[in-house]
This record gives sequence, C-alpha cells and structure tokens, in this order.
Amino acid sequence: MFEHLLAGFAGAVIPHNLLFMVVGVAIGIFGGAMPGVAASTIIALLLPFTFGMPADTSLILLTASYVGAEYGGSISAIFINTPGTPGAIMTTLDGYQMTKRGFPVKALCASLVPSTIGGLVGNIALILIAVPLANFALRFGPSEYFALGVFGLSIVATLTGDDWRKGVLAAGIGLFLVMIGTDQMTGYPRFTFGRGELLGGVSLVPMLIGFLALPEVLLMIEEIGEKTALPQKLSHAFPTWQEWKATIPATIRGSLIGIAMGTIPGHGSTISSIIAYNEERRASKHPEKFGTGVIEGVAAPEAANNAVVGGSLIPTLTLGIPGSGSMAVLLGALTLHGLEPGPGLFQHNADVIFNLFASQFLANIALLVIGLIGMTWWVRVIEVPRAVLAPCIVALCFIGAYSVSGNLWDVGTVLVCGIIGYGMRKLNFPIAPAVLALILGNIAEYNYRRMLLVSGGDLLEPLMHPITAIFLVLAVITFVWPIYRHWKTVRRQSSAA
Amino acid sequence: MKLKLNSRRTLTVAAGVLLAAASAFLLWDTRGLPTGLHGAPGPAVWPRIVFVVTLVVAIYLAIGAARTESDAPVGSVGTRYAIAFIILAILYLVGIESVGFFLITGLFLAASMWLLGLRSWKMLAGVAIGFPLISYLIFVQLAHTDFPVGLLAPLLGS
Repeated sequence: MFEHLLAGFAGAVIPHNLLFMVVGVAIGIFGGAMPGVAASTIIALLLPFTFGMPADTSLILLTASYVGAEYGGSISAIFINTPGTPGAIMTTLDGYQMTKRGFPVKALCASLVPSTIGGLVGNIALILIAVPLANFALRFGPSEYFALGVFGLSIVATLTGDDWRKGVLAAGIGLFLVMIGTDQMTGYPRFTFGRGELLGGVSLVPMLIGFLALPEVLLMIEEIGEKTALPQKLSHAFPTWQEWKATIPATIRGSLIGIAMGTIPGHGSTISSIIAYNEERRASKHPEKFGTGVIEGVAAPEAANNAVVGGSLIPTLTLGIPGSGSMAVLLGALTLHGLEPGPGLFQHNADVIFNLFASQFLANIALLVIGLIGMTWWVRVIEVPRAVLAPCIVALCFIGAYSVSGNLWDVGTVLVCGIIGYGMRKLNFPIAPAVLALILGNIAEYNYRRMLLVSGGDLLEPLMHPITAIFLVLAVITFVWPIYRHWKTVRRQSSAA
Repeated sequence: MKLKLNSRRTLTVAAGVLLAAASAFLLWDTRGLPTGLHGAPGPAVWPRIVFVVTLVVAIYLAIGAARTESDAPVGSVGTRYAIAFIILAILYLVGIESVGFFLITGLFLAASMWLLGLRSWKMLAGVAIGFPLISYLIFVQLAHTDFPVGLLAPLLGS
C-alpha cells in the first residue's frame, strides 16, 4: 500500500492535477462562502466541466472543491450569521458572536486550522480503512450487493427531516427516474412512453444538477430582498497561544466524530458538526459560555465537518454506497468516466484511487494556505448580489448539462428535475433520498435480479448469507429507528400538550 | 368550508394524491412487461415493488397531511419571483436552438437580473456579455464542444 501511496503522491503533484486541486479548493471556498450554495451544488456544477478530463484529475477537482466548501461555509456563518453550507450551522453560534465582539479573524483561524487538521485526520482514516474494506468487499456477490443497495436506500429515513413518508416518496421519485429506459438485463423498454430519446434512460448528470443546484437557486431568489450587512470595525488580531491551546482537544474530538459520522451513510457534515458541538460543550469546564463566542465552539464543528469528507469517501469508494448528495455526485463522476464504484475500483484503477488519496492530503494543505491568504478577501464573496449569482448558476447548469452530451434533452432534464426539486423543497420533501436513489436504484434492482437468477428463484437461501443478512438487519434498523424515535418524540409532545 | 390553495396542508395533500395517482398509473403501465424471464425476475418485478410501496405511502401521506399538516402558507412574494424566473428559464431552454446558446444566455442573464431587481446598466451589460463570452472561450475554444449558434451562425459559423 505504501508504494501505491507514493505513486499516488507522484501522480497528485503532476502540474495539471496540482493545478486543478488548487482551483478546486479555491472554487469550493468561494462557493461555500455563498449562503445557500451547498457543497453538493458546487460539486454538481463542476461535474460537467470534468467531462473531458482524465478520471483522476476529475476526482481530484471535485473532492478538492468539497474540502474547500466545508471550510467556505464557515465564512458566511462567522461574518453574517448564515451558514454558507448546512455543515456550518453550528459555527454560527460562537463564530458570529466572536465577530460581533470584533474578532472575526480569530474565528476564521479557529475554523481554518481545525478544518485542515480534521481534513487530514479524515484522510488518514480513509487511507487506513478503505483499502482493507475494499479487499473484504471483493468477496461480495449479487446478494451482498443487493443487501448493500437496500441498506443504502434505508438511510432515507435518516435524511427525511420530520416526515419519513416524504423521504420514502422522494426516494421513489429517484427510483422511478432510473427505471426509465431499456432494461439492461432483458432489453425491454420501460416507461419510455414511445419516446426514442428515453430508450437510453435519463442521463444522470443533468438529473443531479437539476435536483441539487436549481432548487437552491430558486430558494435563493425567494430571499432576494434580504440584504447581507457586514459588521463594521473589525479587529485583525489572531488567536492567542491560550486560545490555540483550547482548540487542540476540540479539534481532536471533532475530527474523530467527523470520521465516525462520515463513514455512516446518511450522517453527513450537518449531523457531525451538531454532535461535535454538543460533545464539546459537554466536555467543557465552562459549558455555559458556549454560544457567547467560545473558540472551541467554532473549532469542534469545523474539524468535524471537514473530517466527514474523508469518512464519507470510505463507503462511497469501497462499497459504491454514497452517504450524501455530494458523494452521489462523486459516484456520478466515476460512472461518467467509465469507472465502476466499489471494491473493483481498488483492483482495476488503483492509480486513480491513490492519486485521489494523495491529492486529498495536499488539498487540505492547500486549504490552509489559500484560506490564510484570502482570510479577509473571501468575505467579499458574501457581497456578490444574489440577483447576479442566481441567473449565472442557472446558465452554468444549462451550459454544463449541454456540454456533457451535446443534447438539448439533457438541458430539459435539468429544468424538469429542478422544478420538481423546488416543489419538493417547498413542501419539505428532502432532496437527498431522491439523489441517493438515482445512484442506488440500479445497484439494488440488478443485484436483486442477479441474486435470484443465481439461486434459481429461491429468495431465502441468498438472504441467509451472513453478510447479506447483516446488511439487511442493519437496513431494517436504520430505516425503523429514526421513525420510531420521531414517533416517540411526537407522542411525548402531544401528551405534554 | 373554502379550500385554501396557498396552504401547506392543501398542497401536501395534493402532492400525496398526485404521487398516488402517478404510482397507480406506473403500476398499470408495467402490465406489458414480463414478470419473469429464464428463471429470473423480469423487468416488471422491481417497478411493481417500488410503486406498490409509493402508492401506499402516498395515500398515507395524503390522509395524514389532511389531519395533521399546518395551514401555513407555502408561497410568498418571493415565490412569484421564483415562478417568473422559471418561466424565463423555460424561454431560455426553448430559444437555445433557434437563437443560439450564447446569445440566448446573454439575453436570459440580462432579463433575469432585471427581473430580480438589478438596475445597474454596467453590471447588467458586464455580466450579460462577459458570462457568455467566457463560457464560449472555455467550452468552444478550449474544450471544443459544439453549441447551437442560431442567429450568430454568420458570425461564428454553423
């Protein structure tokens, strides 16, 4: 593995890979700092640009932008009390308070350095865990992959917010969209309604762009009247040694939480930063000061949300199970470049994977450098008028979708999926289950059918395989537990009322 | 009782009914697909599993929303802007082939920025001309992607 990693570093420092890594981090910070632009949106918008690139460069650009976006989200959280990305939600609590007291640079440092460390620790975990897990997953057959697909789909319950039914229906929309087209196993056309354009199925990239980017833009437009005012009279003081010392345990705890949460599909940066913040407050000698501008209150969630990047790459790359919208787009990038996500990737395209591991390491270093250089400059991003930003993002979506296949149908797909996604967001239907279903639908269906083909139609025998059974039990727990917990909370609230 | 259209309850019930109807229709549409081929499940099986689940859940959502969903409004003044913006985006899509990708992009940018309240002519012109120009340089000159040129055909070639 060490030799592969060295080769990975050699590949990552090739000038064009290095350039796109730095560009990715910068775009990520830039996009992440814009309120309302999530990391998944940035990756989805970048995806069409990677079409003509080599696979490794494409992945390097996308994951570097993810690293940048997770930090970038803290910039608007710190300056205007609005998280740029959902993962920066907890940073608003103490980060904005620090700005109000006149110390935004201290808050930015407390975000940047732990973000870098969290990202590096997450990357080390990725390297250490991914390779053995991929080797283990090589033993998987159709039944295990079917169970894995079902497990992946079961996380819709954790992504649904307050109503599991909306999550299931959102996943249903995604599953339907991937069923359209010619059936891979039999050649029968499904749900094409006589349209020749649909025989090849609906393209994944336009669907991802439509679901992830367009609804965000439309919601941004709804808030167009709201002005962002930057606080006046700001100190440029850096944290003192005492303050740096206080961030060390917070960074370590946050990083570990981020890795653990990242590896569990469905537990993205938002949940990990919430847990990290709460754990930090619990471990603190002065929990009552949290929320008033405590430096650990910034460090812990920021370390966690950047450690999530490495953690969430583990199931994505080794098993082909994306845990979040961002990871779903990354899997889309893999398939766009003809690579099959899963353990086979480590066997057949080890160079791509180890280039990615190495570049992730370098991307976190680049994050520190670019973050420090642009510390006060990035804040100007927040001042870009939304009336300019929103139309430009839509134009970028259209041009990007068209550039992938040169097909107007794909531009229409972006628009239709965007309008559906906007309607879903307005009615509190979560988008993430639909996006996950776009990736997992085929994995679950075709392995289900292959499993029954191998077993001669016997459903029970393959389900009794130990790994299959474990994944299915986990799927049931993952699906039922959040629903049960929600039901209990509602019952408690209604009995209290 | 008067039906309030701009209400979370009404719209969620409507979404539930719509999704239930769509599930039922798609379920019906699978009748022409084989359920089994050569001992393996055919292309009808998975869709049937999925649409039975979505049909049941959509009905459950519609019934549940009618009882428990709040009556708060879903749309606001901002929603009107979003809808107007969607209409502009549809016109953008429709005009790509005939007007040309880069020209229609500039027109869309100018129109939508104007719609969203931007009144600085410098900014409007700068973005409406600059964005398509940069896109042209990146996608056509660098990436060699073909885009419909429409009305600009005499200038850019077909």
